[in-house]
Amino acid sequence: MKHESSHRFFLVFRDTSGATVHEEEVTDFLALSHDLAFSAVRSGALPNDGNWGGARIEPVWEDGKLSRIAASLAGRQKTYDVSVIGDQARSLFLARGLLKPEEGEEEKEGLLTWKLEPRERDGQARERKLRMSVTQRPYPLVRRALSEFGIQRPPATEEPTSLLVSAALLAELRESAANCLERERADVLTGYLVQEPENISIVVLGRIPAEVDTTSSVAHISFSPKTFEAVRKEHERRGTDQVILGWAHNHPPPCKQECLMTVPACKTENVFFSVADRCVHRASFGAPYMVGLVFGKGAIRRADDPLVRAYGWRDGEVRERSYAVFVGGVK
Amino acid sequence: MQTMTIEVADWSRSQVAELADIPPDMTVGELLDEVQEAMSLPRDNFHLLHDGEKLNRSATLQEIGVEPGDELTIAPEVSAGNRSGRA
Repeated sequence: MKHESSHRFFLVFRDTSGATVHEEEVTDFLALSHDLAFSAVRSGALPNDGNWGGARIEPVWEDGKLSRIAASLAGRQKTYDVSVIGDQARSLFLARGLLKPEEGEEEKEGLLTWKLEPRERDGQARERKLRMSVTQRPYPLVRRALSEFGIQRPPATEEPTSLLVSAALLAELRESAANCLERERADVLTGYLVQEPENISIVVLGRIPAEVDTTSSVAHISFSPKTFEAVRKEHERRGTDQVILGWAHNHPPPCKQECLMTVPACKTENVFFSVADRCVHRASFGAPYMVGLVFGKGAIRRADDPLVRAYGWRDGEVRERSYAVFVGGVK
Repeated sequence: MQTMTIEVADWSRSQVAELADIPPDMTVGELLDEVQEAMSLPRDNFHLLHDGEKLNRSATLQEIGVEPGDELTIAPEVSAGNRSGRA
């Protein structure tokens, strides 16, 4: 989706003395325009055809200071707290070496601060060199009944969409995580984005291991462009009408396999969406219905009995979200 | 020099860019920068793929054998994991 603005937005990092350490323009507001478009499609205010036009992103000022960010698309407008850019700021901490991966964010807290600074555009927007039209595909909604998957009714949730994960798939993923305590591993999740008259549900049924051209250790997994291409080709090869709905990965305990020797299990808990996980989600799973599952060791729980947490997009940000497990599959 | 029309799609095929009048001596890097901005993709480490192969930024489209009507894929190079700390 194309974005326009009367301003350019810069993330400015300063140290404790107030000196600028780094600044960089932010151009990625796709999460905000998707948030607007998906909520409008969900409520029936916009047709699900992808032809929603460009989005406009503008600063909202209060007493001369930036207070919020306003996004508008196809006649709809919503304002967002500036913290919606927080993940991008943290990504830059990592990507530009302002934060070394092994340090974690806590160590730098208070040493560097970030601020979003809108600056009025001088003159016309840069003219594109190429003649290009970008088509946004419609969201892959299917009009089916949840009962076709063995789900009698969607779980009560305050979230705009329900996330439903097949019990069989969850058991497989938990087993994979339990058997992989020496390194991280990942899968891409598939299933259906089910539209019923009153609600939309993300029904996760299958997985495609993300194994091609990956490297991993106990504390990271790297995906190359070939990883994603291989997943897409495998998805096409399967010839299913399921769609890509997100990804799952594990966080092994720092003591790896030896963790199992500690009886009773320790209080360590490492099931969370890290700064890097958020970078992956933003870059690779940016559609508003895409989710991430993380498997890892829970507190006072054996590492081979992993805990699961789910994350997804809400109001333009990646947040922890609820999920429910169902027994059943495609009928 | 004959120009060409090509397509670039993101890896999950949710956005597709159709590009016309592309000169064959355009570099992969130039094409990538334009497409990344037009698709509003994050400023992460994105690359172009052609026939499953990751393309070198400095190569021209002609050098890597891109032909009219070809579809390229744009995909990121990213790392997940718990070493980066909690958000």
